[in-house]
Amino acid sequence: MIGVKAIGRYVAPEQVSNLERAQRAGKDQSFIRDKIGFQSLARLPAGIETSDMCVSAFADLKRISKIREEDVDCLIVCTQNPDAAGLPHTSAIVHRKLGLKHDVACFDISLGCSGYVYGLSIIYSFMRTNGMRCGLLFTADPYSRIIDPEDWDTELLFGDAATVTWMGESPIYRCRPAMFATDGSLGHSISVSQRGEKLSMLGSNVFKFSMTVVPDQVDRYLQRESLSHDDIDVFLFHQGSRFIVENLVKKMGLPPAKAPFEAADVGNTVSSSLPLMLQSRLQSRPARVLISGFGVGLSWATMILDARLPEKK
Amino acid sequence: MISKEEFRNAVIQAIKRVKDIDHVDIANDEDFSHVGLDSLDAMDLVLQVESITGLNFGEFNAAEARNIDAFYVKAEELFGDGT
Repeated sequence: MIGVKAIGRYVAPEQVSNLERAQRAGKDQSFIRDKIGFQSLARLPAGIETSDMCVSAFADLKRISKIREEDVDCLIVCTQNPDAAGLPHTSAIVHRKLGLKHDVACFDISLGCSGYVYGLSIIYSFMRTNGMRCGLLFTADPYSRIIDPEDWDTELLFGDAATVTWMGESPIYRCRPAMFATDGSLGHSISVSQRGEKLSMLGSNVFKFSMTVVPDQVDRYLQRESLSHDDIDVFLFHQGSRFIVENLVKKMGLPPAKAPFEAADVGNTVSSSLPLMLQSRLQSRPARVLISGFGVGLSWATMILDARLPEKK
Repeated sequence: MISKEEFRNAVIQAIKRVKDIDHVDIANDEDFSHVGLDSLDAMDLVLQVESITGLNFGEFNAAEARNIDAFYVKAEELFGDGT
């Protein structure tokens, strides 16, 4: 059965310290450290494209695994900041830069913070349907390109990173069926109104959305899967901010250690936040990992990655 | 419409939840920052007030609720008839 075999990562090498610019932003250092949570942000140097981030993540995957370019038969890039204007699709550019053979399906998906859960479900289904054995799911969204540096409500939040998840046989984790939801009527809460414009975010809307729909979906999902909170070893929530993650933990009555905030030195990396956290679990391999992504759309999605799930025939 | 006193009691209860404290002393015109609420806590405060009162403030910018008076004005605007 197909599942997650390994994850490679690229975290942009430049660091912007939020603590150092706290005063300029009109914030206390304690507010940045204890509430927003992002003490520094990973920032992409000028001239690096989204496809370059993907190539760097793949180089990391090669370093830590036995992936071979010649085996790849499916490549998906999840991004809302594609190379150039998205034409050609970034996945085709990554295909060229990795020097892959022609027999590779390549396409992009446009999703934000829920993108990794969608992406896993899509690549799993696509590979199974088409008899593929080796797939790559990239997440790469350099939000620093669409942030207004004078808008401190967003400037202090987003970091640049990319990941690649190797999907194939004999995996570490198998994907349980996911649960998805969308509220397009609130899409303006996180949006770029026109091409070339900057990101605008309505923080109150995003917080309210996160605190209401995510706990509800997680509970309904666990019920559907006939599982309880105690059956999950770790809850990985999209790292929107320390405040959001810690309030989710409080609201859901979870032990804080089971639902960590781990993005203090990276920032909110959109669709990459979940695979960045998942990667560090691939060594210790907790049996059941619940991942929940939520944001742009507004969109939210939840899935359990299960090391114990029996193989389906 | 919920009375001002009932609304005030709901806000006091909500502040206790947000800050995880037992006692709150705040005047109606006193800024919430005086009891330690920052801009993010204010978002949680709105959610807690919604939970306690059953009112739904919808797409409400929490920054507009700087104190109990201002918060109640918003509630009157939204729910002045028939609540």
